[in-house]
Amino acid sequence: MEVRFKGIGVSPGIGIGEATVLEDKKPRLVYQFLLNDSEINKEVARFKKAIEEVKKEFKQLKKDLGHRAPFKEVKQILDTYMGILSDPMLFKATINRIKEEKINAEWALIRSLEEIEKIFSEIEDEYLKQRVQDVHYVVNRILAFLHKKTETNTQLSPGSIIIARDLSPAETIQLPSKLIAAFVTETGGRTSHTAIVAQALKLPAVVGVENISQKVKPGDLVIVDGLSGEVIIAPDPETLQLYKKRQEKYLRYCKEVEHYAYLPAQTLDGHKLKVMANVELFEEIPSVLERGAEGIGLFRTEFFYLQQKTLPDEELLYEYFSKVVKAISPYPVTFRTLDLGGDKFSSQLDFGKEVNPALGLRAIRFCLKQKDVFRTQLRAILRSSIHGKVRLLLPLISSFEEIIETKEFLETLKAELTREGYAFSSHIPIGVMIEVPSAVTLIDFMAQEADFLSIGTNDLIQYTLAIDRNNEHVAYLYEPLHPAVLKMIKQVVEVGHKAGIPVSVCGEMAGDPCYIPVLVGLGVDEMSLNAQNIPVVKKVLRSFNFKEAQMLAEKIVGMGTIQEIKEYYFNALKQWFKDILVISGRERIEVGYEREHQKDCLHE
Amino acid sequence: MLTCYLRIKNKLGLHARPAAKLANLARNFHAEIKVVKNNKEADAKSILDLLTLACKFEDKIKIEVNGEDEVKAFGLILCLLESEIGERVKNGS
Repeated sequence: MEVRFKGIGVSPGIGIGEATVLEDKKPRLVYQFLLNDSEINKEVARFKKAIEEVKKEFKQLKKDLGHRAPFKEVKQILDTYMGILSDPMLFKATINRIKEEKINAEWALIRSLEEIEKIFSEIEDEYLKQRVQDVHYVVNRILAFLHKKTETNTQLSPGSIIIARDLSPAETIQLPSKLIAAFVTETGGRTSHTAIVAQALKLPAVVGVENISQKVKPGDLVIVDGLSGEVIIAPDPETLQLYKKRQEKYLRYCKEVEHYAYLPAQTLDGHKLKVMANVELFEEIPSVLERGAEGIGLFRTEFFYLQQKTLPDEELLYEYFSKVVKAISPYPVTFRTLDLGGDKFSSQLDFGKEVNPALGLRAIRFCLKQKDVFRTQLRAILRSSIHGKVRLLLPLISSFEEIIETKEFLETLKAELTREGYAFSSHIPIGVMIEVPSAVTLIDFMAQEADFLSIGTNDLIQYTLAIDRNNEHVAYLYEPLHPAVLKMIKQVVEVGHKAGIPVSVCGEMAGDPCYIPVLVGLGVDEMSLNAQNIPVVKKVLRSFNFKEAQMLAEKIVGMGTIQEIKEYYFNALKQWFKDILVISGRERIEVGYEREHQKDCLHE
Repeated sequence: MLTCYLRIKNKLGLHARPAAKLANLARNFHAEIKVVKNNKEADAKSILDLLTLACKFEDKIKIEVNGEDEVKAFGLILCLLESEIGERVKNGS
């Protein structure tokens, strides 16, 4: 009998294969006293060999990562791991314990770990205190190698479906991606680490599937639908047949969609839109252009900061931003100013720990408090504007004062630069991110001062519906088609257009083909999304009429329940373009699932 | 024995990455290499020991190198520390 589970689909595609269950690795430890010198020598040799093997593993891993930019951080972590591996406090100390206390390698190693933990617990600096996690990871790897005989579950056959409670960054990159068909985890949300890695590897992934690792047996046949979030264990022959067809269709469809990259982004009746890309690092720009982006609608500047050892100075930032501006030119780049919290600079700027960082001192709030950090960034962005088209975007605006203060600050900086003889473009549009409900309420004011508006749907939905998306218990409530969300988008667009400024949407909603008609119908002018979805979004855009989308949007904005909206919306979409919905399975599953879920809730 | 004083100029302090670099370099020498802060000393060959010193931005540390290859070790270690971590200061100040 097949068993169906529902999680959150975070990376599209369909994976069919045998389950490999990664258990939380807690090898059962054996404690043993050694009787004589020969046993001691054997034990020391065994320990040294395990260390060598872990070292080899880390080295190989580093080599495998090559020069791919997104993995730079991971490589530095590996260097630290290797340092810890041969650290006297771990290496020599353990060997001495084996010899002096006449105990086996595992026991001695655990004793060394306890000693290190004790010392680290006395450190006050939070960042350094956290490093003990690195020691834990290294010790676990050594233990795994000491236990080599008992460890069989890392042996993967081609087409494995990886099922785990949680996957750490180190674990995920260690898995041989060529042998993997899909990932399934119990924890995590749409932006979890597993999601990011799976998308990078172009493998299907479903997260937030409760208790799956206990329900599935290694070797079970499993189907994973990374779009709908469905996971099916031991499927019936008919189901298997159906999904094999879907998988084929999906792959064919992916190939076909690539052709749309270079076609204009416009509806059947000629309504034009700007489709731009969300970018984190300079290295992504070539692939962004290749996929047909007309510029960068959201450049997340904080990623460059996170790559640095210390806060970058103006020259370094200027060089980096200029490189970006030149590479994307003649298209524009929209630099979103630092969207970070003080927690990311804990050792440098002391803000203490925040209980609720999502509502804490971050983004524009942080920048206006730390004016020196903000000043350096803004000056660098202003200066880079002479190389092409630059727009500035302010994140997490929740009050009108924040815009006024930032604009005044910008004017001061411009005067400063002029005095110092630096050139900058005289026209740098300033945009406001609309991602806090209060910004929507005050949208009349926001539109007066802004040159464009950009709706950040991820945070707007999260703050409006009071949902932490990384919390698997409430993740199902995250709903872009919530009537409150639709009404907000409508209001922002209307006010923006009245003020004569364009409105864009960045966030996952803009990257999901299913939501394009409603966004276009509501009158959004620009969309900025993950570059890999640009071709499919263009395909969708080019297959409906603007007029019809407007009517559809008008209709559903007047509805009061999610269910009503979804039924009406997806029924209409089904008639416009069948292929997309059949492949994603979204309409059928989502509406059906919501109903079942509501029923479950009533019973409780 | 060779000694010198440094003030930490790395904003994050002597954090994991520079500590790993220092330990990896120090392990190439026979000489005993110590980092001393407020009378607490750490073995420069141990990244963990170095981290436990919790050296922060603007802290002053003392480097002590003692052993047959101390001259070479001292020079190379200073090179690394000055480029990654801090600047030399006169003893006491």
